Amino acid sequence: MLEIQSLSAGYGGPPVLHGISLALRPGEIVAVVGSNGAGKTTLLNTVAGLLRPVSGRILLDGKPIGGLATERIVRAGLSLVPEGRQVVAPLSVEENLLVGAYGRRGGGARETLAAVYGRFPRLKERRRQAAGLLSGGEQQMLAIGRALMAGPRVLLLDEPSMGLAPLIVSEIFALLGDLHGRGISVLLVEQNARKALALASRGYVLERGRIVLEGTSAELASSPAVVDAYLGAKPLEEQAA
Amino acid sequence: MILQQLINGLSLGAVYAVFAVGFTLVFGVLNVLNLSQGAVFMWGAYVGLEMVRTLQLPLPAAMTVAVMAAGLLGVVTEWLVFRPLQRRGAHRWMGMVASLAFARILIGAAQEVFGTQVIRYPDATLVDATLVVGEARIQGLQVVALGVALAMVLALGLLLKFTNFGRAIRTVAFSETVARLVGAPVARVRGATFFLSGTLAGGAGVLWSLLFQSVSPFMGDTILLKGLTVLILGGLGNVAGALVGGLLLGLVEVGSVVAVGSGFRDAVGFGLVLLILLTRPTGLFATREAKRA
Ligand SMILES: Nc1ncnc2c1ncn2[C@@H]1O[C@H](COP(=O)(O)OP(=O)(O)OP(=O)(O)O)[C@@H](O)[C@H]1O
Ligand SMILES: [Mg+2]
Repeated sequence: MLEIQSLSAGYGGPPVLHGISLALRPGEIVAVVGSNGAGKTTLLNTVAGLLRPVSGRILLDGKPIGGLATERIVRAGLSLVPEGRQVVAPLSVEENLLVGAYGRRGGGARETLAAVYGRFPRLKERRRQAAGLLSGGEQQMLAIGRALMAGPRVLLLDEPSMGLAPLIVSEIFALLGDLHGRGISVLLVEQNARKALALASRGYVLERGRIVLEGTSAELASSPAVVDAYLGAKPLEEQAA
Repeated sequence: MILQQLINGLSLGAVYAVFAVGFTLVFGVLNVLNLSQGAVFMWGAYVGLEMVRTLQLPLPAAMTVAVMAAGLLGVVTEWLVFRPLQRRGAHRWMGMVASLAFARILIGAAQEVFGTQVIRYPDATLVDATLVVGEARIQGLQVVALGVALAMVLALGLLLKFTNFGRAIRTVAFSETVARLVGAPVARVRGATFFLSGTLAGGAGVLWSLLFQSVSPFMGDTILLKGLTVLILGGLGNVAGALVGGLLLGLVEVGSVVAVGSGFRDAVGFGLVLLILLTRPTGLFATREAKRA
């Protein structure tokens, strides 16, 4: 489905990512965990076409998408829910969703809109409100809904739990579980390793721009290195500090 | 008398509004002031005039040609001035200065092609009906100009509000990254924004030259300042604000001519801007988002 081979990328200076290799199979949920500044956002932004790879390959269904314009990557079936949600604050909730279908190929946007409203009744209630007035959790749902409007087969999510109350995080993770049930493959980047590994079937650990560990979620969750760094008794915020 | 001044103010203000809406649109999308907008306004006026004088087109056709030509000139501006600068990551001050330079080139070209004397539309092309209501003499032309101006702004408003492309424009205005993530063709949206902005400038140019019966290579300079005034009145990047701000400026100017004499017309307008900058720095009609930011 999605295959990343020896990918290096960065911001023009020395690369931030060094030879990342990673695979996402059809219908799978894969977690990428790592602490602040590990390169998680850089990885997702490069796959989504916001940044150009320095070297390496990115394949979607076997076709290279590395370095293509984001517009074309979206059309090829890959969407990113960016870090910090980035809903379009002055547009209404519904306008945010409709603009999400801009890069959609073929029809079906109306059906997806109905499905998104069905899954998030609160968005439907507030569909005429400016997106900037929603709560953080609602904005995250809107950001996911907007990405779904493009009809992706691969969905990338950048820290969807960031800054949200535990109850809302559970709700959002439950939704990701549903998506995977509908055949959408999910690459989930998280600092909240416990939750991410509980949901995903496999995971990768990213440190300073390199994959240092990979395996099934059970393997990672029981690996001493992961437990120490990401699943310790201390709250994650303190570890990151 | 009041009615007379009202229609004078509104027709003048509507032309300001059309111009300023185009101005604010580009500002909203690119966060940059396109100072060649006045020169596009002037070229729109000349193209309209030449279509009537030389090709003897009827006024609506001449205006359509002028509006389209000005739209293309807007696209050329983006292409020659803003896109290369953007590609080099230049600061937006650069865009402002470069567009001012481009305006000087356009003005120089107009001087070469059309000469520097003020010319006017042949009388036969004008709507010369006059409506007398009480003491007021309302020129048909003023009513037509007001109608056309409001229709142009309304058309743009509907496009922005209700079409896919309009939503894409507003998304680019908010965040280029988000626009890319939803698969919007950002470069094309930019080009289209300049086209729309150019059509509005050109339309305003034709209406202005009809209302005031004068076309000259330098006619864009004053309107550029008025456009800036309205941009600030209405809030940077705020289309509805530009419409209201334009009408307001027209009314205030006409009112001030009546109240304190024509010498103060511009002073009153700019005084208003100073006052607003001091009291409401985000403009009269700041949106909730702008206030929160
Ligand atoms: N726009 C940028 N320009 C230059 N360097 C950047 C930029 N954004 C991030 N970096 C650098 O790249 C590295 C990886 O950053 P990245 O944002 O990908 O980390 P992350 O894993 O997403 O962190 P977080 O958990 O805080 O979101 C960091 O060292 C950061 O300083
Ligand atoms: Mg990040």
